[in-house]
Amino acid sequence: MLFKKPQVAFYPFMVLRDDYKCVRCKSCVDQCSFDATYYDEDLNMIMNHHENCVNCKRCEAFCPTDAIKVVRNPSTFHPDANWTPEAIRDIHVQMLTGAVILTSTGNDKPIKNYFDHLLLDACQVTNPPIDPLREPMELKTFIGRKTDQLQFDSDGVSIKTTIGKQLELEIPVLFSAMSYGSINLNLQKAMAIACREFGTYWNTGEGGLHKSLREFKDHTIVQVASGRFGVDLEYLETSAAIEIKIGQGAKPGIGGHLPGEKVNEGIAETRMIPVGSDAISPAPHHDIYSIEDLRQLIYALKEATNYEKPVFVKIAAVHNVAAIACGIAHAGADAIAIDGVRGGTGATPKSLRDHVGIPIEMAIAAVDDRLRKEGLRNEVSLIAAGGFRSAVDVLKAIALGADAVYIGTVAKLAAGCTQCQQCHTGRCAWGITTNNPKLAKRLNPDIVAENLYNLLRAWAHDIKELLGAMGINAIESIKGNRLRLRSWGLTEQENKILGVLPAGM
Amino acid sequence: MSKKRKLMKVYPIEKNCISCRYCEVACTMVHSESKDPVKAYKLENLLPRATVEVKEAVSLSLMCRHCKHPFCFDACISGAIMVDENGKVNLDEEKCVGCWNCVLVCPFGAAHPMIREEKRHSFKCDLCGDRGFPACVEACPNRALIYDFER
Amino acid sequence: MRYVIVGNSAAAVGCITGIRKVDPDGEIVVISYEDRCYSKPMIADVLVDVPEEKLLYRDNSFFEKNGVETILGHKAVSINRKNKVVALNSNELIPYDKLLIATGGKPFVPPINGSDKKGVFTFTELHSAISFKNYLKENGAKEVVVIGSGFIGLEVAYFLREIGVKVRVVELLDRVLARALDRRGSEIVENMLREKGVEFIFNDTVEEIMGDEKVSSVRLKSGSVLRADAVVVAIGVRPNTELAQTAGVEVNKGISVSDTMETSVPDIFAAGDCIECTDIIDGQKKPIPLFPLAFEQGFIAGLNMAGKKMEYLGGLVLNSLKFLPVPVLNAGVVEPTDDSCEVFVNDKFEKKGFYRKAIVKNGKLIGFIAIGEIDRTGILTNLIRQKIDVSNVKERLVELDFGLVDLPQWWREEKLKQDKTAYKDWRAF
Repeated sequence: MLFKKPQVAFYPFMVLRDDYKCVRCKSCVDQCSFDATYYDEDLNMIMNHHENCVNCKRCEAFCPTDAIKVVRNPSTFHPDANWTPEAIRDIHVQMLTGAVILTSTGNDKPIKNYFDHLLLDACQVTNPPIDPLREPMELKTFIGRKTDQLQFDSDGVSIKTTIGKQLELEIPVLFSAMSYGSINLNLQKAMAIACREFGTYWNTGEGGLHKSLREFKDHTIVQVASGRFGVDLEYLETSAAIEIKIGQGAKPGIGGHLPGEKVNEGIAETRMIPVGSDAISPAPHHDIYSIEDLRQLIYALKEATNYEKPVFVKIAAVHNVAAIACGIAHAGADAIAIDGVRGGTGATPKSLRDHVGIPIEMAIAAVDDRLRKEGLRNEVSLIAAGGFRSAVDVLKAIALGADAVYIGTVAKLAAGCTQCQQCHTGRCAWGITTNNPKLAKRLNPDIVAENLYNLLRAWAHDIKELLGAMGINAIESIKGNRLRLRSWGLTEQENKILGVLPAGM
Repeated sequence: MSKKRKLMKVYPIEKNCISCRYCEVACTMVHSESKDPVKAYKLENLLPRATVEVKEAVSLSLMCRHCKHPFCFDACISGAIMVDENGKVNLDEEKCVGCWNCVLVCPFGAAHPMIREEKRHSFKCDLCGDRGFPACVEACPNRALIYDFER
Repeated sequence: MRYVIVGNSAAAVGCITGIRKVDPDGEIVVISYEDRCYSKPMIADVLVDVPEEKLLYRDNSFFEKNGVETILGHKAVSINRKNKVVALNSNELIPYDKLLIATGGKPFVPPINGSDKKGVFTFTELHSAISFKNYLKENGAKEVVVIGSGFIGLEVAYFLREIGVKVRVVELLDRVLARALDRRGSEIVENMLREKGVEFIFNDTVEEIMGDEKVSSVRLKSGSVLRADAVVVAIGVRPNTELAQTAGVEVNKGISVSDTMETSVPDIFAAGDCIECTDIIDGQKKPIPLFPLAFEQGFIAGLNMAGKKMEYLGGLVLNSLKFLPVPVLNAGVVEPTDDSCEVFVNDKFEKKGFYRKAIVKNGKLIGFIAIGEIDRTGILTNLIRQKIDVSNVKERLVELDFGLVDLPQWWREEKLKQDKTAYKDWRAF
């Protein structure tokens, strides 16, 4: 291509436009934030720079006459199972830039999804299923440290034991950490509204809590990460719980980097850094090199907040996740959040996203097992994260041993995301992972809050239907109940790790 | 004069406008004979009565404000522009002779010229009188237009 | 309350509208020597056989609905301010409580020898337009000379070409519409008219209209003689103040009125082409004989006559050339008034068919021209009217997509959200 490197011509997507149906309203031109569409006044035609198209489908969605389709470029490389177009393009990018390939969202490789190999049970004849539309069905979930045993008053009925503060969830689903900066305030607000309406929690991520969202205090989990952005006493207190972020499933072992050009006034104020300065979260917490150090931070946060806030610790699911989780429980955390290999992000090197960490299904099973064996399971709640797609995934995760599930990508999808993997560019055409005011206004927090509410409602219905079929009327009764799961197509070793029997047994 | 008029109008909400032009295309479509957006533009040569304006992050859709003092009504030489008892400003395209005075005086740029070989007249938002509910408001995907009583 | 309005055009209709906003019951009488309420700017259309009913500005139902008594075909000849009566040429006396003088303008005819001959016409009233048309027909006129290249002169010339009559326009200055447009604008308009077959003679004037009883030719100052089967004198209009003067109303270039459209004589108001109004651009009182202003002035007079005090915002030049296939608009001034003015031009007429020009003074827009692409130019007109600071967007003023997004956010808030669109809300800042 003229004035461009030859490899640019091997672009992956094309914008097809039915010129007859195009009424030149120029909606697509305005909607495209990647400079892939423009209007040529002399020709009176809408034209494309296909090489810039990222397949975000914004133009397609907003063409009022349905004249646009974004398609795969039919011109491709020689079919080769080893040298796939992606592998070739990655080489081209790196030979031209000399840099790591940045990407976003979650792992897009065909890593085995164990949820798809797990099947739920149902009642037939010998034990009756329950109709959730006729009978009460309890999804209420409490996150936090549970007591070892209950002590009763002399009357034998009243409970004497007091337990620490719990988060009360109407559905075992929370919105996972997405920072102001990686996403914008509109999505944070939408999640906060939906949480308040439905009865669950959202997580600030590591970018602090903007003052406009403080009203959602009782449904907010505030995060403390290695960069300590936006952390002060007021921040810690404006919360329902505090989460220490050690790692993230999409990029275990590395920190975050919000480029200075994205640090606008609101972000700067909220993160407590100067406008335009890079916001770099170090890979490690520089004050945590051991479980004991972690314990110090956990208790420092508890002390600072009068022991009124549960403290969570979030880690990426890595090879020795069970041992680490155990240490975290010993360190005094009220909940452990584990983010699996399919977990999403706003920016990460592609190599880390796709090749580091373990699947969340394995991690849940391993951690749950280990905590039980150590007699610690009641002391911490287990929140699973990383690539949950549906209520069924949620229920399977709970049956494997999780208390609740974090969803992030789902929230983005409910806000319009089409998974184009461009979050790191800050040019999200759907107004989700961008703070460009022109783009961010595309996300109307009221509308998205309704979408999120609907989604939670739908998932709650789904879970209730599935529980009812199993003859269970409370989510508590399926937790860690791997007997109600069967696997198919898995090896003996996999079944052993997951603690499930193969179908037929 | 000061008495409150019973008029519902379309109000743009700037912070929600995403400049997608749905309002424009919906407007053109519902004012066409074919009720087909492509035919409306290409065969019937129609144009939208709502105008989407964009300047960086600011965008809004703008249509006739049905002003309490409509300068277009003052300026109309043919008697095509009339104000009804509720204050709605109507433009009779048949009666209009295309003097463009309304275009020249409308402070919002909401009266538009239709300058074609076969037709020369002004046109503007009629609040979808025939339809009962403004198409632009219905089409807006981001609640950037609302239909509300005059303030 | 008895309101009497002399005149039956824009200002009169504006006045009726204004009165009825406030006073639904008062008696309203309209006196006019003409027989109907037609649209003055449209009279040239009769040349191309536009049906006369199409020229009607307000039909009988308007007057009936508003309870207006009309005395048509009678001329008001004098006003007795003491007895508060208007005398008609029929000697009838019409008493009033509040009177509006809306007698309009009269065509200016310079002293030319032979201007009393048959076949010499002016062009401000329907009957003269109709008689001109009939004269052309009856005499099989082939060639017409139009004196003056203002809006009326050019429109007549254009329509005469439509019906196949040879037209020569004689203009004293060196270009058409010299008072309304800049040189470039004139050139564009002139070219369009030349394409239509209109001939122009500039820097010259008619010294004598020749012929026996009827016009047969004209002799120009330069000496040339042009055949002319008819002559149209379209040099301009002057305020018609004859009637006002009978009441002893103060008259300068036109009838002098206050901000509430009241003359120097209590209970006598005046509006339209007969008055001099304040030009909001330079603050000077001057006649600006334009249809939109006449209506607005009449409306304001009506409000005040009916007891609702309302001050006129002031007038400004607003022109629209409606007969050409390509629209030509201008408002305010079209040339810099002094060295402090900034001029912005966007001339793509040859390439894309439009020309835009804006004049900014002290950060305020004071005038513009728009040719070809005219959509949304009313926004500019309002910038002139409200004297909104445009320093930050001055280069944008001549762009086709100039819009409300270029205006201050508070303005949009006030107009779009709070609906501040009543008359008083449009005052200058």
